[in-house]
Amino acid sequence: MIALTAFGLEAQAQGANTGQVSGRVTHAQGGQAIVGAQVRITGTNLGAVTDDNGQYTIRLVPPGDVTLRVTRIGFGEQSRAVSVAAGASASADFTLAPVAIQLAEVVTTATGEQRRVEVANAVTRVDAVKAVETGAIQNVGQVLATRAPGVQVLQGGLIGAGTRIRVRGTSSLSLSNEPIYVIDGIRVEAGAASRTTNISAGGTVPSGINDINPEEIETIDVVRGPSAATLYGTDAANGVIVITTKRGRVGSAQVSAYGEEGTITDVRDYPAAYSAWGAVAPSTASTPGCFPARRAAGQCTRFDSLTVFNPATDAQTTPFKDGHRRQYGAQVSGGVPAVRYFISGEKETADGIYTIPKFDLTRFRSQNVKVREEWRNPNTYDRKAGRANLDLTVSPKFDIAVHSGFTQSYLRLPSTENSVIGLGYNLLNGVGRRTASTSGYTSYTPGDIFQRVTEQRVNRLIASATPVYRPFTWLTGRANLGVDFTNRVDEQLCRASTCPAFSTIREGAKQDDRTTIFNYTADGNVSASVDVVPGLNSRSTLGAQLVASNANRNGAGSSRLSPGGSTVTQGAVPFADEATTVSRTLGAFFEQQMAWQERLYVTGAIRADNSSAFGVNFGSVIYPKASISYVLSEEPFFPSFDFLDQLRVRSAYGASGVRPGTTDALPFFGATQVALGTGDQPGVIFSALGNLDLKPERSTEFEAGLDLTLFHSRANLEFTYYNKVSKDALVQRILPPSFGTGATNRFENLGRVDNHGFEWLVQSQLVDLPAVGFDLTINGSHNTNKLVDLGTDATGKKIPPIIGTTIQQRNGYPLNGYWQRPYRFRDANGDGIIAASEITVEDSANFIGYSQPRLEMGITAGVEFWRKQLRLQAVVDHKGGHYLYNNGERFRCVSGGNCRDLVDLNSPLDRQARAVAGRLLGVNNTLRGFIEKADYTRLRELSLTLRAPENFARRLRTRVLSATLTGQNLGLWTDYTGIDPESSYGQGDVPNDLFTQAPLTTYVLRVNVGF
Amino acid sequence: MTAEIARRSIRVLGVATVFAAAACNVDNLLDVKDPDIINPGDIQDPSGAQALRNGALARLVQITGGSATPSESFWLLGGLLADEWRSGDTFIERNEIDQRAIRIQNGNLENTTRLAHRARVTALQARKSTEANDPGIAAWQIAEMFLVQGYAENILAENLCNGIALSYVLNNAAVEGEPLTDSAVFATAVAHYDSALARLGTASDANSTRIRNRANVLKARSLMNLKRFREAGAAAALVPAGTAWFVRFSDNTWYNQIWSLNNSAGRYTLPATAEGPLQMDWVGAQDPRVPNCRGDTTRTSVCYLAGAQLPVVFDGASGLPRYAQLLWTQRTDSVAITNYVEAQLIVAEVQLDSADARWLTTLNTLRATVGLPALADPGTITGRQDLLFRERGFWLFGRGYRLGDLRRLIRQYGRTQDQVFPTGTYVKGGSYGPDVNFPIPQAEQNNSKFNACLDRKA
Repeated sequence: MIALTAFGLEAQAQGANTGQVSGRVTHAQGGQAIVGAQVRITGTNLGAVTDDNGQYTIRLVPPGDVTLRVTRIGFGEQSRAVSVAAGASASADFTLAPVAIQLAEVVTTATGEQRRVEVANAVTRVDAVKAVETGAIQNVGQVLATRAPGVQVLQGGLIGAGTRIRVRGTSSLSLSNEPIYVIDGIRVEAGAASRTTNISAGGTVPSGINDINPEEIETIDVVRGPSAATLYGTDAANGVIVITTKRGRVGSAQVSAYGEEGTITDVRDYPAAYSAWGAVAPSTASTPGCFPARRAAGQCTRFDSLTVFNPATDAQTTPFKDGHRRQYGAQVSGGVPAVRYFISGEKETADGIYTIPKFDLTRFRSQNVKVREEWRNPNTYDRKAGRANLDLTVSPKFDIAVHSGFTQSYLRLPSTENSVIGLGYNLLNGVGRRTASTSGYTSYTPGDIFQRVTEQRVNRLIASATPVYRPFTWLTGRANLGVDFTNRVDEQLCRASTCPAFSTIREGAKQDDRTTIFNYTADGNVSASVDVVPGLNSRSTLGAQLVASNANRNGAGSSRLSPGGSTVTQGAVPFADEATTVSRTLGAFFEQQMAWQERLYVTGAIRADNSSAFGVNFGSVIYPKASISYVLSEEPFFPSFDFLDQLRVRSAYGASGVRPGTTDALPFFGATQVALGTGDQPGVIFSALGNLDLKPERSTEFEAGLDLTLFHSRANLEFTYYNKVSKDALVQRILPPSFGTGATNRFENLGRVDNHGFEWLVQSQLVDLPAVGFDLTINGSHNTNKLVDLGTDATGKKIPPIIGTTIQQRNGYPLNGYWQRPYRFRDANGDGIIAASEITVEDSANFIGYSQPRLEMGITAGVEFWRKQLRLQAVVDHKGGHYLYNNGERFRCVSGGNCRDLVDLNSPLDRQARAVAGRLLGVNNTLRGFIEKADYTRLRELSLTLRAPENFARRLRTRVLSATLTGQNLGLWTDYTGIDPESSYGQGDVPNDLFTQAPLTTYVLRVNVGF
Repeated sequence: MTAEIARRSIRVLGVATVFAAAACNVDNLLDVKDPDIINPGDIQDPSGAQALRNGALARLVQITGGSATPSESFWLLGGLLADEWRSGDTFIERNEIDQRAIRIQNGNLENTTRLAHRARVTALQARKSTEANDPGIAAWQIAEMFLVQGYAENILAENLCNGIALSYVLNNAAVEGEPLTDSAVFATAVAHYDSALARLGTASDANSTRIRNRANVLKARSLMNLKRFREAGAAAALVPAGTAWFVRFSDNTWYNQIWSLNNSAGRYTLPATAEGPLQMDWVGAQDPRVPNCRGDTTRTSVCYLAGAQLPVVFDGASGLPRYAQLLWTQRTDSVAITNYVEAQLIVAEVQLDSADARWLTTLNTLRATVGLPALADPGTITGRQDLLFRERGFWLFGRGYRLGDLRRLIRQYGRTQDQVFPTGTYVKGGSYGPDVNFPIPQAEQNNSKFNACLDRKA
């Protein structure tokens, strides 16, 4: 109260020496009020937002001539000069004309919101509100997918599966390539790492970004590379996803409610299992391995029969059902000039596509086993989310925004993918007939598999405060203080005498891990903006930031559960563990921007960081930045063209980094236990060599581009070239086994990785008639990646290539490229069978291709008719220039021996050859045939939105009324022979199709109502 | 009022300066403690040295009876490459070892090799730490560390090709080793056993006697690998009946991995019929020294062990029958690293080599302890050698001897590899490869003194 009084007095005092500007902003067509327009006095920190009558007031305006600028997305920007006298009020009304296409006028940067033209980088602002209202958006990944050039989004197939996002390719050999996330000014954990547990469900990992409710988001800005992310500091080299949640605006309370109902289904074809029964020498028993190639080689002494069975398609054995999705929520916002609010609440539930097959239910009935709901429905997700955002204007000089979002979620995941007791493995590797014991599944049936219940419960609070103090019109102080708190409980339960009969699992086991994660952000900056000479504005910003993370996990478990038992204490063999991860990064920066005539912006900045993860012998890291943005078309000398509204050229250079793990620099020992005659005794073993010189991986980037606005704002073009060089790349240097260290590698700053490429964005309103409209947006990117050098060790010896089964890291080739020994085949005897002897394999592996898409294209086309009340929108997603390891089929052919290519005489010769080359050549086996081109084009989304005419909506006493019918993942065009080219096991940098659930198809009906 | 504003501004700046000063104390802000790790400085005392010695014994468990992670020991991998085990797995890594066509990138091989080196280096670190921090400790506790070192070196040389580097890390400084022949590594092991014996001196307390007996039989084994038969026989002859060195398992540490991978998981199986030309038909022989049974789903069956037995191996599509050993039927069953039987087998082999007729008596005396009938003399040198190695096979099954024996048959007894290793068509497709030992994993190329195996000779 004292502070408020003080501020009030101060305002009064200043009021006598200043004036104010007020006015109204209205629509050029019809004169209705425009709500939420930003009105700012250029060269100062003074401004206001229009209320629901379109009115605004700016106080404490210094006397003299000032320039007001009004911006609102969807309308053309306007500026006007106004004279203000001390103690008087000036008036300035604006009439804004809508434009067909317009990019957001402002973007969120590390120092606050800035006009887009001032920022020399290609920052994509995604309008989350629009995306959510016109599509069945379930998570933030889906908001970004196809809407931001250079951003690759890979969604998991299961309900609740994580989202993998990569920006401008992969740069790091050993560290995370995930971007960082900033929500309302504070760092949050949102990648896969934030949800990775020590409880495996076979490969599917949720990600923290799924906690963020897309309905609460206003905008998402994608900061794509180090040149733009310099001021975000260490960790930002992989890009920054900046999320701004919705805020209240002055006016009466506006209520929005929405509801979604939909179905989820799997339209992929799963391959059948084949078996060639017969006797393979020296055995005389009938086994399933009497393949044509073996028959041709005389190794099969007796062929009995070919059998084929597909558990996925048989009514008795299929584990699939249609899932269901439901979401209901409401939001209310409004306020008075001193207090604005936004409050929202939502509940979402989704049931996945798995269930216990009929034959298993029959079996359970016969065994008198009660089928529990969690077994019957093994993949579910439930999320409740709430948010309260407040904007308080304490005085004309001081305001504070408080954001708080709370999420409570529950996820149940079945074991799938790469697990012997997972569904994918057992579904696809059967013996080609419906057997008595497993009904055609490999070893274990879904009924047993789904008895293993894996659950994750999350309570998460993201809260922040952003106080802004403007002691003078030229000086602004801003801070962001916040915490991202996660309380997570991960549980896995196999009750006694349930679950697959693998190893000791049926003895029963319970694991219960409790994790708390705190991420703190405290940053602040002071920005001074002055006109050095008329037309030349200087803006200086000095800031500091502390980001701290503290994660603690306490795990408890037990095995050999009592019958009926389900808790840790009910097991005969208890165990416990504990893990802590702590890190802190402290940075400071200075940025200087000079603006000439509001068309030429030159910016220089420097940031210094230190981190607890750096080696003790390494000090601070310095990241510089320089950029220039030039609105060339506003120069008097620039020729005037009818078709050209604005031309901007821009270029930026900057650096950023990725810090190593929290203990990567440290030499340390670990604890162990040993069973001796005297009982179990504690021991210590040498774990890690550490690296006292360890420093962050440093990426520098040059970016250049141009932005064009054409045909009276009916088209926008954005084109960007970037060249990113990651030096001091942290290579997880493999340690020789003979060192005897516990750790198999240690981080060293050795390598260099280059990424360069192009990004483009074309937005156009091709038809814009009162009754009909047609708009088209195309965004895309092309990336070239190269591992330039793995580096040399301390003795000058070059680090040898890192060679995996299918992936190799070699100088001069892309990171994570596919390599394998090529082969040739010829059906020399013309018998229609490719025998081992008819295949020739080259001696050494050669490079096959990228494992990441090089070319990405997102096309959004919308047709509006019936006075634009009806909108049909299609989103097409294309990715290409890459390969995918069809590991599932490899497994079936090479390990399982039940793929059609290996077993069926009628398989095409090339397909026979890849199976035989993978399995029957002994030391010459090669997996080349299973690394396939994975280009695809997918109809990602098709939606039909019907907006009720205003008079009809009013009759129903609603402000807004609309309904959207959306289908997602409706069509796929690809030559990839696996189940789906987007199937990806795990969250690593190399996608891997290994019994992975493919993306699901959803149909959702959404209704929006506004009061 | 302007003055008031100025005063307020000064106060704000003052507060900001205090915060800035605090922020500048970077060391405090960035000084974080991670309790998950043990800092080297925290174990520089007698209790730290004791913990390191326990750590070395834990590493010894990992390279013998095994641990769950990261991989099985050479006991199992060596038996897979030889004729003890067949891969019941879908993993390429185990299949290619079974098939004698091992890539240097084989992950299981790398992990297993690391385990062996870790045991060696941890024992060295424990010994040095003990000497520095607990100099008054009983000699047998130092000697025990020499034994761990020697045993790990012997395991490495019995399994890997020529070219083993004995690098180490002491006080966080890494010293790269030169590639050594297997013989040189066996000699190093012998030297470590001698060091152990020297440390023990003539001490006659129970612990010293126990360690001395173990040292003698282990030394005899390494000497046999060096074909120093007479010295080996002398050392083995010193080993009294009852000598045994067990590794133990528990719910809190690790489970017996022979049981885990064979009986429980079915990733290893006994071959249904003899895999190699030496006709070690573990199943068909029904020898009480390697009891076994076919996996059975009948709850009352002797082979319904962990509630997880199936009639086929883990790689169900291969159709291979699943046979489980019954020497270690419980997950925590202890396994002998060495024992009196091994010493007597060495004695018998030395006797055979020196044409001492007692060799058969020595074998038959051992057989009598388990109720087996006496063996007849085959009458030929080759027949006698075959018989001796067959006896070794049954007595020492599953405990890391078989690959070393097959290599010695080639190296010391003039057999060709086709006479001892499996050849022809591999049961899962393709043909057997030429490997008679494990290549040194590719990861060792990060040792600047190492490039590749010196050779792949037996």
